[in-house]
Amino acid sequence: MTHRTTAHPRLGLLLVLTILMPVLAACAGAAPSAAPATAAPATAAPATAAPATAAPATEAPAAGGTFIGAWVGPCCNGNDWITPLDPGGDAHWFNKIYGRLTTFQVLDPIKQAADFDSNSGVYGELIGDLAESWEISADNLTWTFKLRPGVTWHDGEPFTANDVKFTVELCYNPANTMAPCHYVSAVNGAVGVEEYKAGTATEVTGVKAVDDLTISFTFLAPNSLFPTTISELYIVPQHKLKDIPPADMKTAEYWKTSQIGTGPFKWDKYTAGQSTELVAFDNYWRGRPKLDRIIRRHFEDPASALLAFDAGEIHMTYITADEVARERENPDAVVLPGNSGVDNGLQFNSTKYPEFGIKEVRQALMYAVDRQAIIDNVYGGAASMVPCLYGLPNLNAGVDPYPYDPAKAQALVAAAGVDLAALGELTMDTYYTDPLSLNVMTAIAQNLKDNLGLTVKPLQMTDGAAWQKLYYTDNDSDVSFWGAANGPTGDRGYFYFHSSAAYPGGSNGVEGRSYSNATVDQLLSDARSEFDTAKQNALYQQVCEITKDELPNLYVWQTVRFHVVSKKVGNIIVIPAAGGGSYYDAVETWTITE
Amino acid sequence: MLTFIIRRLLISIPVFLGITMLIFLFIALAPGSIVDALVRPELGIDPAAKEAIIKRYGLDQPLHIRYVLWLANALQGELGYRVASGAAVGSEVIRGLGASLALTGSAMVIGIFVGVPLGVLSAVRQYSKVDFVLTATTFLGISLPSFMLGLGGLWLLGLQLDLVPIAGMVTVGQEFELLDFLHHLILPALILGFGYMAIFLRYTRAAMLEVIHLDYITTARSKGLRGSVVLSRHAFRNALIPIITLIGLSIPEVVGAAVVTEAVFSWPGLGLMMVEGIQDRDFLLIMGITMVLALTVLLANLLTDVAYGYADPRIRYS
Repeated sequence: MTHRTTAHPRLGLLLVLTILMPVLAACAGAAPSAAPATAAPATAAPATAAPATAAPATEAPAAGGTFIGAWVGPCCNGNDWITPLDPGGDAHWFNKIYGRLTTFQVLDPIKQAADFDSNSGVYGELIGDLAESWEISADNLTWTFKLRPGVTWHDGEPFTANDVKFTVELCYNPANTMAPCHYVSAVNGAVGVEEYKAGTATEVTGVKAVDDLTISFTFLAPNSLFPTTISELYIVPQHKLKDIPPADMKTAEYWKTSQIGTGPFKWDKYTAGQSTELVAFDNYWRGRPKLDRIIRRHFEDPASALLAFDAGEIHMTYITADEVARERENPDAVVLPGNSGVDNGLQFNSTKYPEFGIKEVRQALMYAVDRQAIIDNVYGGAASMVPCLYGLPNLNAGVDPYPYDPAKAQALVAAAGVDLAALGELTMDTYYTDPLSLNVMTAIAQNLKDNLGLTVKPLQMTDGAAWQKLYYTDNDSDVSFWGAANGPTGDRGYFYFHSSAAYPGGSNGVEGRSYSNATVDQLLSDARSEFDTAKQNALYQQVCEITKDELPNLYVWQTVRFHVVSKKVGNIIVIPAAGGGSYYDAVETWTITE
Repeated sequence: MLTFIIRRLLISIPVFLGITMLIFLFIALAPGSIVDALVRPELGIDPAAKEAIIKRYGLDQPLHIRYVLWLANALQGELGYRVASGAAVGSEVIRGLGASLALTGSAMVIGIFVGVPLGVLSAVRQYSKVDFVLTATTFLGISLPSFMLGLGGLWLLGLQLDLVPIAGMVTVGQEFELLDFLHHLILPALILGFGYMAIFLRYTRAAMLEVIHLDYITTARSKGLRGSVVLSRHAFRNALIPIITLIGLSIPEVVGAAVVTEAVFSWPGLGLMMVEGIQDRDFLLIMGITMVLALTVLLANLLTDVAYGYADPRIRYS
């Protein structure tokens, strides 16, 4: 039996960290004044699950104040997408209002707070959020979560296991207009899910509210990663939603006027197209937030958001790598980098151009692009090469990326008997609309032209148009350039490479991803059932090796993304535009100096 | 005139229905569907869930049935709900229309009331320094893309001089105040108005130049009429027809044509909403906005025709 828990208070660690704070702050040198000095609660809270106020910072600004941020960039859909059940990248906004069973601690948040210029913000240990501890049964089929006692919804009602079961069943309810509720897919494979979805059962029998503070999930096959994959599903209140017919769920006024969660901030006011305002929840289980309010200002254009930041109207926004140098000159700001957990990838449409269906030709395309030069010169170093989908070292260890080798690229294409120049001018579609991405794609195109004679023209498109062209209805792109979330666990690979996810019946529904390899299928399934982390990582490394060789997609690098944050803000933990999944940002410890 | 207006209004009904039919057809013919906007590639979608979405939005029905259903609902004031947020299309369109009217309406007022007099001045002082300066300004106004003017204006007036707020309609975190709203409105309205001003100035100048050298103007002057009277009653009135035409053509722009300016200034008008609707393949939202647009075009055409009659007594409707 494997037992995982976060409930054991590490008071020793807390004490040591608290004592070390002034030393760490002094070592931070020119780092923002408030941030390093007050970083203790950010670390202490997730590690101990104790209220953040347990370790008050010695130089903390007075409590209170309003934090105004712009959640813009590739992370976010905008504040009109106001549902926690399908938040997408806006998950990092909804965590202010809602809680999840589990979440990830940010690795070394003190370092991040004290040294904003380092590439920190990497996912660390899985910790409890609404769940206090969890364990697997002897047959490895049932996960049982003990919920945190004393947690209440914003209206004072107690949070119970029934809320968790309700959330899961609401998401699977075919009549629920809020669907697709993507993150409930963590529960796929649980007993009774298919019957419930088909309407032949009135509940998901595998999800049981054992008592008010115990919820269990029984699977048909072992699912070792469930506590990590469930970390992205926000829990919604049964007592508020049970009387709304599922067919009216999406259009219910509740979501725009009175939605409630268990998170540190309460919904206060939503002004369409302008802002969403939250106020501190006095009874938050980690302790009342230090900030009084958080306001999300809506910006249609990230350039305007950056101007508003420079003018001091907002405290945080997203910036691209080419804007970093300028903001580092800003005396009132700190640039906060974070590993995005997002790969950039290229897909060459083999349905339209059979030449790209030849493995050696795809390998030649990889050899032909000088990735390191692009990373150094265009990204300014803010990216790192990946050998496969996986950017995390534990998942790609021992697998080296393709080196830049134009001669080998040309030899492979010649051996395949293919004339890429004869294909004419192809377009490279993307939904990235920023100038930096255009420069990156232009550099890739130049490499392909110089080394293989292949002419590719970058085309930046609006989000919706690009997705439609790239993925679903059309699959009409010649070449596409996009991002792929690749963490925090190797199970992400299931959605990209398992044959059950392939076109047309699978979840990815795109012809170019109709990848099928029995060995990879087996490895991905085995990894899901493997409870030994080292063995599991070894399985994912094998997936990495095979997919590097076969190149169903061409994953080129993993980018570092950036937020710029006002020096008035203390304790902030942000992984900019994180594609890696849920993380604990200790928002209840954030401070602001007015 | 009243008969004419009533007849035109009656004719507008089938024209309006025809427009909605065409737009509905075009949306149906466009590639992609709502599913494209609702599904995340890295997470995918269950095929059954995909079918459920298609069924929910009636996309499995024949086109004519879908149109009739939409029309029947629309006539009862039920325009459906936005795909992304689930908000009612009717209230969303009204909200967007209000924002658009405030921004583009103010800009057009600036354009007309500044552009037309300057156009007259430019024509009267043809080839003078004033004319050259105004002509150069006109070229700038027509040539400079609005995103450049917008971001440049924000940088200079908002960031460097701190005279105006950066984007948005109101200051967040406080109750609505009219002065605060106007403070937010002034820069985008001026920037958008600058473009309109340039166009109105150019057309007014050309229209005036066509008439001020004609014989009847010389006659009026030779009768001893004051210059201002000759200009306003004889020259300007005769130059009004092309200006009215231009204003008539511009009125529909008040509804949702300022997409770029709205984006730069985060001004939630109909233009931005239309772009979002297209991105989401949200045919209900697109139809809702198109209805407003079609009604505005029909109304603007009617107003233009009526205004012709007042501007030029020779034009009579019977």
